[in-house]
Amino acid sequence: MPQRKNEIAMRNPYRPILTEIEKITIENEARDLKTFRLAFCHAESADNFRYECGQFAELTIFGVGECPIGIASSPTDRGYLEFTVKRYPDGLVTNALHNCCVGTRIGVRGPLGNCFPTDRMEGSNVVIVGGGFAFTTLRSTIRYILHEKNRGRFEKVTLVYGARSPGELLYKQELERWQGRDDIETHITVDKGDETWTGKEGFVPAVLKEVAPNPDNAIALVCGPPIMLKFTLPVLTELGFGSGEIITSLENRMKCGIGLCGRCNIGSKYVCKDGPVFTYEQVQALPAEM
Amino acid sequence: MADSKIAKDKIPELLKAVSADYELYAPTAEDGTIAFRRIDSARQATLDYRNTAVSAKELFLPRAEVVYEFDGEKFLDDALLDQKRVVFGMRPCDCRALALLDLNFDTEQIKDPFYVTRRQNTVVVALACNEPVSSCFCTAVGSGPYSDQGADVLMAEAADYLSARAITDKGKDFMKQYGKLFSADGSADWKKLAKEAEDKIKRKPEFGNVKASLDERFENDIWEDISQKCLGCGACSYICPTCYCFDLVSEKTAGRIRKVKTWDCCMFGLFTLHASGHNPRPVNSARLRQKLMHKFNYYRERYGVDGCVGCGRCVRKCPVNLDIREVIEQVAAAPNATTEE
Repeated sequence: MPQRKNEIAMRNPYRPILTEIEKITIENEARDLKTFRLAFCHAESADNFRYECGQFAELTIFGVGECPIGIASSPTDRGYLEFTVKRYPDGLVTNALHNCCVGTRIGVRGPLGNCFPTDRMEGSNVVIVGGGFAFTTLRSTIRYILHEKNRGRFEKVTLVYGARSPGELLYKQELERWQGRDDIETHITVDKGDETWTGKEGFVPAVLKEVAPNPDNAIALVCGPPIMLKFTLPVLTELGFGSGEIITSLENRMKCGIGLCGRCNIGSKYVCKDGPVFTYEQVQALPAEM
Repeated sequence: MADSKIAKDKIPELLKAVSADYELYAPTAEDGTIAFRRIDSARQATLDYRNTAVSAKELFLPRAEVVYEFDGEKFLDDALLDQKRVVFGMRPCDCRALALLDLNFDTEQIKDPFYVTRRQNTVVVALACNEPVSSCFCTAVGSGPYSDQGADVLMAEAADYLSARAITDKGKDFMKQYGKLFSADGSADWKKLAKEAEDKIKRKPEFGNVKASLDERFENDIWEDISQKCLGCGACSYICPTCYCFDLVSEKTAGRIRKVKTWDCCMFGLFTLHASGHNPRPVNSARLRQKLMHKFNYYRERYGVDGCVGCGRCVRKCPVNLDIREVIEQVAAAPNATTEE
């Protein structure tokens, strides 16, 4: 995976930059997923925060704590960052964040980790497979690819995205916009629809099998809950995708985010520094400790 | 630079002079144990000691350290060490641990400015180890009682004097600064002294192929066996000179918010617990395996060297007598399910 070179020398890597919550969007029916749009407090931070799709950042609620969250906005979105955060009953920081209102100061450390291989994806067909709320950095990638300056660099784009129920789909308005475009093929599915749902029903692996994207000159990005990954990866392999052409993103309890604190390793690889983006081939070589 | 020597009865004079110029840390007797403490001319260092109970890493990675302070509007200046310090009498194992910690905290890509500043501002004066104890195994992990890695000056105790040699430029400057207390004819037979000390290490566990044997035994019943008696108390990490894993904790004080970097330990279940409740290392055996793997497999893979200096503290202090030398040997001897099926 491409490593972003960190040009920090003796800068204090533990100190965040300052942002302010500009907008909060409740994403789902269960109301435990919110997207926070953060505006930079200082113009130079906005200029210096250069990130790529798939990277993450550590968000600080001052006086409470810090947690690692994938960047959901696209590098083409200027002047702000977006993070979609799930509130966990036991999560100190995610709870505090969900209780914040517009205007709250949030610290941001990043961008951290490696990124999706957009250079390798150039000139290729891109298959994006997402499940549940593990769709945030994939959304970043889709926004990036669909940007008018970038769309020409990629071939066919196919999206398979699913959630438990219609109310649990993220970025609903955006999904509708994508469905209306002719430069991305969308397959939005839910495990079980409701009375208003007119779209597809079925699990992501089954829908993917039905869609059967061509593996020739293609790269697949796959993010979702472990159970979805378990059944999706064999489908991709069956379709003919090599394990080096399947890309996923891992999570762990990343504290420092820069490979120092010794917490997020799987085998000898740090998720924060060597990842979070890995090929399926790389994941298969890791010990079973996820 | 030729070796020089200093008579033992001149040591107090040397320490007095050093403490006038530097913050001076040396082994001191305290509550029946030996610990590195800041000393001044009034307080005598103890040089008659085997090793300190807790390693000297805390002088470079403090147990708790503020990494930033924020007043709600702006960050205060970083509290980087601005004093020049001398640590006198560190054993070669602890000095070598610094060379290993450098690999993690002082890299081309990322530098921990707090650690790096402490390293830069500190002269490490090592005291070679003439009397290794039964739990020492430095020679099994590429070190030795006369190793000079990580030290700026290495001293060795002979009859009634200490021989000294500068190892780094910082060490040369130190020797020049206090040259008048040393005489120039200090040439000691370092090789002979080192050999004598090494011969006193009776137990030489075979750690040569430990990485390979661990590679093949990630999934192995032996971890469950070995971890049966481990309490997961973390004492081994606390006193270890190379265990560096840390936590970052937020604190609120009057009108201020700060982030504190504290020692942490992979033996604790909370270490890897996700907010979702998922824990990739949910049981003690997985955590003990992580500790061994990090030191003897992952560190070697990342940096080409094991993350252990053989100081033997974990052997001496484990409340249930888990001996890392035996653990490594037991793992190496465990049937390997993947290759011997």
